[in-house]
Amino acid sequence: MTLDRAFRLSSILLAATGFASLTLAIALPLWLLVLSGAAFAVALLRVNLPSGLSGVLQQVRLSALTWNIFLLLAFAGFWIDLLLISQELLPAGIHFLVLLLVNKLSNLDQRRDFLHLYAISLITLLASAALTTQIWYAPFFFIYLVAGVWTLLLYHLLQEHEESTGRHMLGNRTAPLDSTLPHMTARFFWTTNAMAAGAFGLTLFFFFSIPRVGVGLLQHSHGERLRTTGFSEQVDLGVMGPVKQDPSIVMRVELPDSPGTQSTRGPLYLRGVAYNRYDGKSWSNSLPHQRMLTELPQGTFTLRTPGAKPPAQARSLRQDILLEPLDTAVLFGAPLAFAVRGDFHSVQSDLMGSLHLAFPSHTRIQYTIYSAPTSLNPAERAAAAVLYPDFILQQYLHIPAVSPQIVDLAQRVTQPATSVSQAVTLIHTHLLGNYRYNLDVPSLQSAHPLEDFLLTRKTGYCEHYATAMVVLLRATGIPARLVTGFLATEWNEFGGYYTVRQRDAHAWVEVYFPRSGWITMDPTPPAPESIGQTWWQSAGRVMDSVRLQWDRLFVHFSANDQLTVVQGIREGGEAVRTKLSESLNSLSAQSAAMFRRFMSSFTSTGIPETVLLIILAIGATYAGRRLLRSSRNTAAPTDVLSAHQRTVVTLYTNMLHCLAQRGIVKSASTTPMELLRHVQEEWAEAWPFADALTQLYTRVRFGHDPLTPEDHSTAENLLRRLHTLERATTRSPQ
Amino acid sequence: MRFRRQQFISVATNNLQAQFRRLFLNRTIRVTREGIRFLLLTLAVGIAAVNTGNNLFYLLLAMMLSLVVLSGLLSEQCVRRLDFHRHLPDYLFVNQPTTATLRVANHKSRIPSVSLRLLDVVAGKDLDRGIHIAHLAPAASTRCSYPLLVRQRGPYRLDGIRIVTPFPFGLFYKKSFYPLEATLIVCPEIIPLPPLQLQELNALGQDHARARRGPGNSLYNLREFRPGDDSRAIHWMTTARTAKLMLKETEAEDRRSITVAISTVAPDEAENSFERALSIGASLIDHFLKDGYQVRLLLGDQQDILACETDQALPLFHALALCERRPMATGAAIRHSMARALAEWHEGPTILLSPWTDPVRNEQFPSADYIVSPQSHRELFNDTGSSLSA
Repeated sequence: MTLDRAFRLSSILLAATGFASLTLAIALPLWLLVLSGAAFAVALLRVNLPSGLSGVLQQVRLSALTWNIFLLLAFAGFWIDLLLISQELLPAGIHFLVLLLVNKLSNLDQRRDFLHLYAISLITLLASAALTTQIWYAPFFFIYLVAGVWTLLLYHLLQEHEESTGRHMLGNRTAPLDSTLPHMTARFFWTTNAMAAGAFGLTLFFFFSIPRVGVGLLQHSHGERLRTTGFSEQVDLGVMGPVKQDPSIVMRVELPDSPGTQSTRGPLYLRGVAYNRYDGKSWSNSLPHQRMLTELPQGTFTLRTPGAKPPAQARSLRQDILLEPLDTAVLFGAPLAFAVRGDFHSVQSDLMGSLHLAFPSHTRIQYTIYSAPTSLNPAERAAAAVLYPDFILQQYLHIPAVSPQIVDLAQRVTQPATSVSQAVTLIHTHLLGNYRYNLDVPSLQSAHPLEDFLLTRKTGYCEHYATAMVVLLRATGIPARLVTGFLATEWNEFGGYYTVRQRDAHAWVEVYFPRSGWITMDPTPPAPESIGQTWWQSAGRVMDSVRLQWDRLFVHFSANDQLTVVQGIREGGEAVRTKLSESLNSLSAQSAAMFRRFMSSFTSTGIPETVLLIILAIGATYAGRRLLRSSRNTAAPTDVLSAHQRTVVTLYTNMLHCLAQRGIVKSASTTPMELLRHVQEEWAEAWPFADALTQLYTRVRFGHDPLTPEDHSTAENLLRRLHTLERATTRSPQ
Repeated sequence: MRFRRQQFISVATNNLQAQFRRLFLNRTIRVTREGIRFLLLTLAVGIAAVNTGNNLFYLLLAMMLSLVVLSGLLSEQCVRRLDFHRHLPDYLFVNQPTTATLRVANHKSRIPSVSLRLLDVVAGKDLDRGIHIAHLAPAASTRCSYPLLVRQRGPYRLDGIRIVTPFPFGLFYKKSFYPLEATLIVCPEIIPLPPLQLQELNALGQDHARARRGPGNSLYNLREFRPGDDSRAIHWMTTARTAKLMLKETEAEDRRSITVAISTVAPDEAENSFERALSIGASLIDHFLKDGYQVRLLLGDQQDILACETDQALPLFHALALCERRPMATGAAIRHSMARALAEWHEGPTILLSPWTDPVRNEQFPSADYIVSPQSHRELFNDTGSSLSA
C-alpha cells in the first residue's frame, strides 16, 4: 500500500472514530446518520476504487457552489435547531458539526481540507467526552490516538515528499493515486505502531500527572439518576416489589480490610432508612429531625460529639462505596455506621441512625463508611426480661389496629420463650419456616396487606416478612423497627467488591436491646441460589470490574487520588530509606564489634593500641595507593573491532593475499603507505586499486568511519578487478 | 594528588558544559503553522478541562500533550549523532559556479534520520542549498552535491551546517547546529578580455627577447672543443673544414615573461574600480599563463609572486583574493615601493593596472609598458558586476 493511500485511509478512520463515539454518546437523527454514512462510504470508495471507476466518481461530484449552499443551509438549520427544535446549544451544535463533517469528507482535495477534517474529528471526540463517561469511550479513544499518530506522521511524510519532488499529491483531482510514492513496509508499520504505543504511555503519564483543578464556570452535570423506591419519608408496603426484577447497578462495595473469597463472605446489609411508625399500609418516620455530623480533617464526618472517645476502628468494618446517582440523598452503609469520609459539604444523620446528604447527587459519588460490629450482649441473650428506656417504648412499640389474630399469633409463637432474645428468635424462625417467598403479591391493592400475608396468603417478600416481624415483636412488647436498604450478595471475584443492584433492595428488622443496641434480624428466607455460573455471567462480572476501574482511575480520578499517590510514593521512599539506614547501622555496628575484637586480640599480646592503629593506617594507605595505581595502569580495554572494522580488515587482507600471489609481500614492519609506494614502483597497473582499498582501510580501521554499503560494494569490485589483473613479468627499461 | 583531582573535576565540568551546550545552545525549535493550530487546540481543550473538571477532557489534553512531547523526543533523535564532511574546491572564482559535496553519516546504530534539510551557515546566516534528505538509514551515509556560487572576493567562511527537521508530525522545526568550519578563498572574477587588447598585450615585449647560451635547437656559437665538453655536440662539418674539433653551442629556448602590477591604492569611491582592476588582473594572469608565459605579480607593496605555469597560479590568485584596498594616505609609500620593484626587474614587459586614474602617478612608473586604467580602458572598467555580496 502506498503512503498516500494509507494516509487517506487513516484520515477517514480518524474521522470515523470521532463520529462513532459521538453517535454512541448522543442519539442522532436517522437522516443525519444516513447522510454521514453515505459520506464515509463515498470517501472510502474514492480511496479504494480502481482508477477508471474513480474517474467516473470524480465526474459526479457536486460543484463547489452546491457545497457552499449546503453549508449555508446547514448554518441556517443550526439556528432553527437552537431556537425552535431542540432549544439546546449542545445538540444543535453537534448536528451542525456532523454536517460539516459530511461536507469535508466529500471534498478532501487540498491539504487544508484534511486539517479541517482532523479538527472536526477532535471536536466530535470532545463532544462525546462531554456527553458520556461510559467505558466504551476507552477503546474509541485508543483507536483515535493510534489513528492520530498514523495520520499526522503520514501527513508530514507526504508533505515532505511533495516539497522535495515538487509534485502535488493533494489538490489534483484528476490524477489517480500516485503509484510512485514510497510504499509502506513492515518496518514502517511496526515503527509507527511503536510510536503510537509510546504516545499512549505518555498520555497515561500526563493524565495522572496533570493537577486536577475544576473552576466550574460552565460545568454541566450529566447522567440521569436511578429511580429508587423504599427510601422516602413514607414507604407503602409492597413498593419494593417492582424493583426486585431490575438489574441496574446501584452501587459497588469494597471491603478493603476484610479479605476473603466468595465462599467465606456472607451477605452484606447496607442500611438506608429506618421507619418506626406503621399505620397498617405504610411505614413512616416519626423522628425526622436531622443533625449535622461533626466534620474532622481530611473530609471525615463522625457521629461522635467533639471530645468523645472514638470507637476502636481496628474492629470496625470499612466499606468503600461507589454509589451511582440515585434520586435519594441517603448514604448507604453497614449498620451502626459511626464515620463517613467523602467529598461532601455536609452529612446529616437522623435519630434512627440513617445518613443523608443535603441533596441527591447528580453524579456517581465515592465514599468510605466505618461501621461498628453488632453483637448481642451475653447478659441480654439470657435475660428473661429487659428494661427499656421510655423513649424507646414510646417510639418503637406502636402497632396499628391489626387483627387480634395477629396478636394471638405473636403470643402463641413466643410462648415457649424463656428470654427476650429467645422470643425474637422464635418469631424469626416462625416466619422463616412457615411462609413462602414470592414476588408476585399484589400488596398495594390490599386493604390489610399484613393480615393477608400472615393469615391468608402466607406468601410475600422482604417487606412483608420484615413488617410482620416488627408487628409481632411489638405485639409481644419488644421494640423493633423496619429498615430498608440493600442486601449485597453478588460478589465480583475479579474486582473484589460487592455489586449491588436494584433487585437487591431489601427490608429487614432491627430489634432493640438496651446494652447491645439495635440488632439486625432478617426474617426473609434467602432466595434460591442460581445453579452454577454461566460464562456469560462471569464475563459480565469481568466487564463490571473493568467498568469500575475505568470509573475509578479515569472518570473519577481527582486531586485527592493524586495526593494519595504522592503520599504513597513518599511513604514508600521513607520506608526504603529507613530500612536502608537500619541495615547500614547494623552493618557498621557489626564491623565495629569485629574490629574491637581484632584489636583486643593484638593488644593482649602487649603491642600498644596506638602503635597498632598507626601500622594499620599505614598498611591501608599503601594498599589503597597500590590499588589506585594498578587500576589506572590497567591496560586499555582490548581494541574490540566493530563489525565495520572487521569487514574492512578482511577486505584489506584479501588485497594483501592478492599482492602476495603476484610477488609483492607486505612485511610486518611495512606500513600500508609504504606498501602502496612499493606497489606503485613494482606494479603500476595495480596501484589505483590498491590505493583506493588502502585509503578505505585506513579510514574505517583507524579513522572509525562507518563502512557504508556503497563503500563495501566498491571495495569488493576493486578487489575483483585486482584479482583479474596480470602483473607484467619484465620491468620496463629505465 | 590534589592536582589530579582538580584536573579530573575540570575535565568532568568541561564535559558537562559541552553536553549542555550541545543539547541546549545548539538546538532551536520553531513552531510551524500546523503546530500553532495544534497548540491552540490543545489550549482550548485544556481550558475546557480545567473549567469543567471532566476527566475525559483531561484525557484528551494528555493525548495532545503527549504528541507534542513525542514530537520533541523523536525530532531530537533525528538530529543527533550525525557526522558531516564537506568537500570543497581549493579555490573558486567570483561568479563562477562550482560544486560542493557534503557527506552526511548517521552514526546511530538503530534509529534513522528522517526529513532532514541541510543549510549552510555563513556569517551566522542560514543559506538553503536545497539539500533535502528524506531518509538516512542507521549507520549509513549519503553524499549530497550542491552548487556553490560566491559573488564576493575574499575569504568565504562557512561556520557549519544547520540541520532542520519537521519530523515526525510537522508541528515543530527542530534545528541543530553542527560546527564545521571551512574557509574558501574566492578569487577575483575571470572576465573575458577584448580580443584587440589581447593582441596588443601579446605583442608586448617581443623586442625584449635576449639570446643566450643554453639548451635548444638554434645555433648560438661555434668554438673549439675543450676537454670536458660533450663530444656529441661536435659540429663535424666545421671540424672537417677547419681540421680542428669544433663545438656547436645552441641558443636557449627562452620563456617569455611578463609582469602584472596592480596598484592597491584607491579612494573609497573607487571601490568598484578596485575590484574590477583585480578581476582584470586575474584575467590577464590566467590568459598569459595559458599562453605559456612566466607571470610575475606585483600587488601594491607586497612581495612579488612568480608563476611559470598554470599549476603555479594558485598563489597569485590567492594574493589577488586577499589583497585589500589601501587608502590614499599610504599612496606615496606604495607607489615608491612599486616603482622600485619594477625598476629592479628587467625581464619582460610590465602591465600596470591602476584603478584610480591620476596623471601624476603615472609618471612615477616609467617602466610600465602598458597601463590599464578607467580612463584609458573605460569599457573594461564599466562592467562592474563583481561587487555583489555572496
